[in-house]
Amino acid sequence: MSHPYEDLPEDRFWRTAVAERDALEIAGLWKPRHEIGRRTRIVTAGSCFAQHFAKALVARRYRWLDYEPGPAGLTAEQRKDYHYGTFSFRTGNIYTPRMLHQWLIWALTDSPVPDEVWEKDGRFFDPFRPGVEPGGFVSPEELYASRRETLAAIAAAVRGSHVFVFTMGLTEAWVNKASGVEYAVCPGTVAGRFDAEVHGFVNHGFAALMADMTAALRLMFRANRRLLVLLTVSPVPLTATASGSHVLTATSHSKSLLRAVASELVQAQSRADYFPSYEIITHPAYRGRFFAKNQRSVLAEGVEHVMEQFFRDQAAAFGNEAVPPPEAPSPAPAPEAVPEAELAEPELTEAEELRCEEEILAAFAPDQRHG
Amino acid sequence: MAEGPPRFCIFGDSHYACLKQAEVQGLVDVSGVDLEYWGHVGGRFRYLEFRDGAIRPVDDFTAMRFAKFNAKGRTTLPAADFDVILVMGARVYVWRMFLSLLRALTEGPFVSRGLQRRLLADALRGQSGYRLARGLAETGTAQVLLAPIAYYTGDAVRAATFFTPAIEALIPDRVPEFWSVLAETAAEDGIRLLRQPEETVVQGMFTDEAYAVAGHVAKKDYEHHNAAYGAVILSRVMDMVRTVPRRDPADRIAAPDGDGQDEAGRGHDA
Repeated sequence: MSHPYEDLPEDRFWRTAVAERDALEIAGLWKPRHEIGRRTRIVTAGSCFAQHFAKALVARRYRWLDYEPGPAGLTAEQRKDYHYGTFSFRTGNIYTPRMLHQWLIWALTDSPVPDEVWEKDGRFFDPFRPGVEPGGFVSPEELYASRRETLAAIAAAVRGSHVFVFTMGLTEAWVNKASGVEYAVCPGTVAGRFDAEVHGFVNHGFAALMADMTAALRLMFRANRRLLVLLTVSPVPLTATASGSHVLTATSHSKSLLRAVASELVQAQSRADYFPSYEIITHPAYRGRFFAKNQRSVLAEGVEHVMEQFFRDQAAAFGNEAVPPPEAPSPAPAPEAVPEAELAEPELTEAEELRCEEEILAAFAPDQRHG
Repeated sequence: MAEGPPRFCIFGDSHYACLKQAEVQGLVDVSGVDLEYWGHVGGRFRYLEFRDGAIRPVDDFTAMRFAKFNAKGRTTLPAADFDVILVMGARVYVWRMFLSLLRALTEGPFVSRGLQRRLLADALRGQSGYRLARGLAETGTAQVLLAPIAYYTGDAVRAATFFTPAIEALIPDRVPEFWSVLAETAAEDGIRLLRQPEETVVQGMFTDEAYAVAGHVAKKDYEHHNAAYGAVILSRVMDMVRTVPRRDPADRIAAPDGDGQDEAGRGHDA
C-alpha cells in the first residue's frame, strides 16, 4: 500500500459517493453500531423532527413504545390535540440538551421539580411543556398531577426501552435567572409573561452542550444498563433567534454545535450512535429538495427518504431484510382506539328493537292517536 | 309574529313514547300549544339525514314509518314548521359516556378537566341523533330542546354491579359537571339541553324504578320509561313552550343565552 487512501471503498470519495450519483442514490451514510430490529423496544423524544421517527417506526411495525398514551379510547384527533403519542411521553418538544437533562433529573432522581407555573386568564400552563394542554390546566394542582404522570412515564421509558432516540434541536433557550432552570419556550410566547428581570436568554456553547448531554446519558445509562442512545439533529431551521445574529447564521451556529456534540458523544460513548438525518435533509448535495417553499418545513418525501436510509443502513450492517416503506400513510401510533361516540351510541339488538316498537305502539295505538 | 298558539313538535325515538303516554293519560296539561309528534324506533334513525332545513328519511320505507305515527302524515320534519322542537331521546346517550369517563378517572391514567370536557363534547356531537338536533338548530327557525335518553332503570343492587366504590364516590361531584359541559356544548350549537330531573335519579346515575315501564325486569327493559317520566319532562317544557310566540315563517330566532341549561327546572345537580 503506497498511501492510506488507495484501497478505501468508493463511499470515502466524493466523486464516486456523491458527485457521480443522483442524490437519492447516495447510500451508506450511516454505519450503525447497534442492530435495531422489529423486537427492539424504542422510545423517542426531542425536537419536532423526532415525531417522524416514531411514525415511521410504527408504520413499519417496529416496536415504538408510548409510555404515556393517555386514557383509553381517545380518537386520533384528541390524541394529537392533547399531545399524546407524539413522543413516548407527554413532554412536548425537548429542544435542548439542558431540557433533556432537566427532565431526566426530575424523573430519575429525587430532585424536586420547580413549582413555577404560568397563569393566563385563570388557566395554568407548565413552563416546561406549555403546549401539551390546549387551553391550560384548571389549577396548579392539576398541572402538577399531570406532570407527575409524565415524569413517571419518562422514568419507565428509560428503564424499559432498548433504544432511546433523541433529536437535538436548539442551543438557544430561556432560563429563570434566579434558579437557572430552563424553560421549553420563551415566557410570553405560548403562555406566561416575559419579565426581563426574571427571565434571561442563553445560547449554550459547545462545552455546556457536551456537559448536559454527557450528564443526561450518564443518568440514562445508570437507570438502564442495556440502553442504547441514538442521537439525531433536527434539520429544521430556527423559527427565530434572540442571539443578535441573522436567523440563518444563528441556525448554522446552533446546528453545527449540536452536530459536533453528537459526534463527540459517539466517540466517547460506545452505547451512543448518531443517525445523519440532518445531513440527508440539509446537505447541499440534496439541493434543498426536501424542504418546503419556506425553506424550513421538511416535506413528507424528505422524512420518507430519511427513514428509508435508516432501515436500509440497518439492513446493510446486520444483514437483515430491508424494510419496505409502508403503502398506506403512516397511522398515528395509537393504541386500539374506540371512538367515544361509538361507546356512547350502541347498536340496538333485535330484542331491543322489538321493545322500542312496543313502546311506540303502546303510546300511539289508534284509539290514542291525535299527535 | 303570527297569530295562534306556538307550534310544538316532539321528535324522538321510542323514548318519546312516554311523553305521548303522559299526554294521553292526562298527566300533563298540553293546552295552549299546537302539538305534533314525529318519530320512530331508534333503529330507523340511521336512515335519517338533515338536509335543506329538514330531517329527511333517506328511503321511502323509513319515510312511511315516520309518517305513520304523525297525525299529519309528515314524511319529513322541516324545522321552520315549528316554533319549538323537543328532541327526546333520539339515540342521544349519556349514561355510557359518563360511566366511561368515571372509569377513566378512577382507573387512570390522569384525565385533565380540559380533556374531560373535550371527551364529553366530542361524544355528544358524535352521536347521530345529536347531529340531527344540531341541524334543526342551525336553521335558526325553531327553538330546539334536547332531552337525552334517561339513565337506565336501577337500584342499589344494579348500581353495585356497574359502579365501584371509587366511581360511586366521584358521581356526586363529577356527574353534575358532566351535565354542565354537555349543556354548554349544546348551547354553543344553539340547543337547550334538558338534564335528567333530579327527582327521577337514584344511586347517582340510575333512573328510579318508579319511572320504569311496567314489568321492566321480566322484559329486561331497563331503558324505556313510563308515562310518569314523560310527565316530568313534558311538564318542565310546557311552561316554556307556551311563552314562545308563534313565529312568522320569515322570522329567525337568536341563539339561546347563557349555558343553555334547562331554565324550566334544573336537573338533579343544580
